[in-house]
Amino acid sequence: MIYGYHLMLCLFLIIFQTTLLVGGGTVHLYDLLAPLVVYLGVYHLPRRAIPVLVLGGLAMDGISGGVFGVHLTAYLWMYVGVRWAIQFLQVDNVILLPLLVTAGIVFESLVVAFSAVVLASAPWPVESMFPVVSAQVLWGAVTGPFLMLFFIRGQKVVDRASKSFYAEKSPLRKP
Amino acid sequence: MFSKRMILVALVIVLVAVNIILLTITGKHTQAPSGLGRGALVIVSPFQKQFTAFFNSVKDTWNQYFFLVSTAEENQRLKKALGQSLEQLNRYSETEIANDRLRHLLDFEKVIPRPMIAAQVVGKDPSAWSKTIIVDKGTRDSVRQGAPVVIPEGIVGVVVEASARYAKVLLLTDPNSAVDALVQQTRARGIVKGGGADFCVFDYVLRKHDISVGDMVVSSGLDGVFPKGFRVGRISEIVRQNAGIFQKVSVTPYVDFEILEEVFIISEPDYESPPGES
Repeated sequence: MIYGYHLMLCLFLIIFQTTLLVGGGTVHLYDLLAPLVVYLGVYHLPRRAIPVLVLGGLAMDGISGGVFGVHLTAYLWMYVGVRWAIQFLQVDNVILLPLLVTAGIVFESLVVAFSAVVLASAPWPVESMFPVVSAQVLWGAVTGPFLMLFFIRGQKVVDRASKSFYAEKSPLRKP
Repeated sequence: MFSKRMILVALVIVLVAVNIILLTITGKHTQAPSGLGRGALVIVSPFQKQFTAFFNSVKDTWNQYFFLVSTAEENQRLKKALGQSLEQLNRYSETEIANDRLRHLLDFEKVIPRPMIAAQVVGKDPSAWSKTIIVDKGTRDSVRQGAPVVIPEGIVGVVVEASARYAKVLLLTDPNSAVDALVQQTRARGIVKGGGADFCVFDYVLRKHDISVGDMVVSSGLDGVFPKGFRVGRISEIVRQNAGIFQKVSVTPYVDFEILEEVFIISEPDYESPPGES
């Protein structure tokens, strides 16, 4: 059930940011999947997170016209980084969790910007990097933690639903 | 000999290096390797289409019921514009007849019109670093990779990837885009490249050519992609440096890429077989 929740969340975020949010004035919107990757890194083991990261990364790379594989790369390295960071960070802290989300958005924005400025066949000028990345980070720092809270709340609802579903199916259940 | 920590650090460095090499290789191509991009179009675009249709219906309802006040004013303005356009059309019709007659006299080859396929924009690139859109027509509708995409205002871009039902279009403003173009008035030639933001750069225009801000830039047809005479944009800035043989020219596209909803994809011309040829 949790796999379904993560995949639905991933698909919803991709569709949301490629249809509704474009052309609405948010020119430098950050990738909404970055907070999802941080959430997966904090709360889920690789066997639950990696399939979602790979599918989400490939879908984003397929839709985007940038360097193919850059989103997949960013998501996987970000996940590894978050798993490493939570070994010594108390992520339940109200300050550290938003900071971790913002750090994830900074990392993702820098990786994509680096690919556009250095690796692309027709690279962007380096000076265009600063305004785009800073705007994305600002947006991300303000809204990213709220997205994270939304994911956590959603997970609690799914966990409750799945527990009650399996409790009803259980052969040990008293009639 | 080596500690576990050292091996881990070395492994991470090797993985990062391999990752950058792979990205450098894929970065040289606009198309995704092994059709992976097409896979994403197949899976995600149907949802994008439904979502866009729903969003557009909500927007239309809002526009129809809450902005009727401005409609009368707009109607007046459009009637005036229509009158001017009809007058202009009449003049163009006369010119076209004269053009046909003269081409016939000079024994020029007949220009074969290329069929256009109407498509709806269902998704846009969320990244600030690449300018692409997804449209709801694909190879099933005879859309091929490399097909030019236009709207009445001007050139939109070119198809870079197509699945059966959907296609990805690289916009004119993307740095990977290039159109062979000329200034309509002076016939000064150059290459219009995407500037990344909402402008384009007109490269390789010789200093000797006398061009000015506001001049219209149209496709030359020499790149083999865009037919001749399609509007590209208007010259917005010219910098003539003391050194060098070219001038730096910026072009503002006629197309507003932020509000694109429908486009036309130009497919290959339907060549009729000469009589007797099987």
